Amino acid sequence: MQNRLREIRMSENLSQQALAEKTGVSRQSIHAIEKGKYVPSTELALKICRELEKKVEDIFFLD
Amino acid sequence: MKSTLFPYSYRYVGWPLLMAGLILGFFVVFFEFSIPWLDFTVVGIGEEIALVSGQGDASFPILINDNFTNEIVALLVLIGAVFVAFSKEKVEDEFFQQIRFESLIWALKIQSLLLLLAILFLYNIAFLQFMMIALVSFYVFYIGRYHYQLMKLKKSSHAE
Repeated sequence: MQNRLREIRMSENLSQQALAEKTGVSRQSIHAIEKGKYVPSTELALKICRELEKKVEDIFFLD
Repeated sequence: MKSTLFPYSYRYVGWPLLMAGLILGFFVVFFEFSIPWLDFTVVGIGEEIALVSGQGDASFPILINDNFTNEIVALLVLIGAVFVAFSKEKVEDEFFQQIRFESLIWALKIQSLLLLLAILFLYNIAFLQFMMIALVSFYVFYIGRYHYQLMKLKKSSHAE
């Protein structure tokens, strides 16, 4: 699975740390998701989408 | 999901215990070091081969004269390693739990491989010495791998 998290987060002027705090995870986790090293659970993906006010498919998509 | 891990602060107790145990253990295993004032008579349920083979005195309980240095080492390492290995991160999340799981599998594989080699190539006292180390080596492999993964992750995220 790929994602556009970094691009969308930057467009919202949010730092990795700020998004991590809003979603209740560590900054390293956000970094790993952006790098494609980690595929988040459905719950975390939905939280990220809620914080960024986007639909899931706007951020996450299959290869 | 409720976490079964210990609080973060447990690692402040775990690391000193683990380090003290590993250093003392090194001297006990390789130089037969023992602390003289730790000689005690204790109640046990068996000694040497009595329990395993059925030979000798296997009556319960049995009084055993023993130097407690090796027991202290085992307790220090075991308690320290469990506290270090299974205490939460400051922000414990699903990604760290995945790293934990992968590190556990990795450590189990290495432990099993070493055990296999020991069964095939180590005999008598050498095998016994290996088994003493094997009691705690799993935790050392797990902790080493887990922290190495964390270090790599922190390094790459700091680089940005």
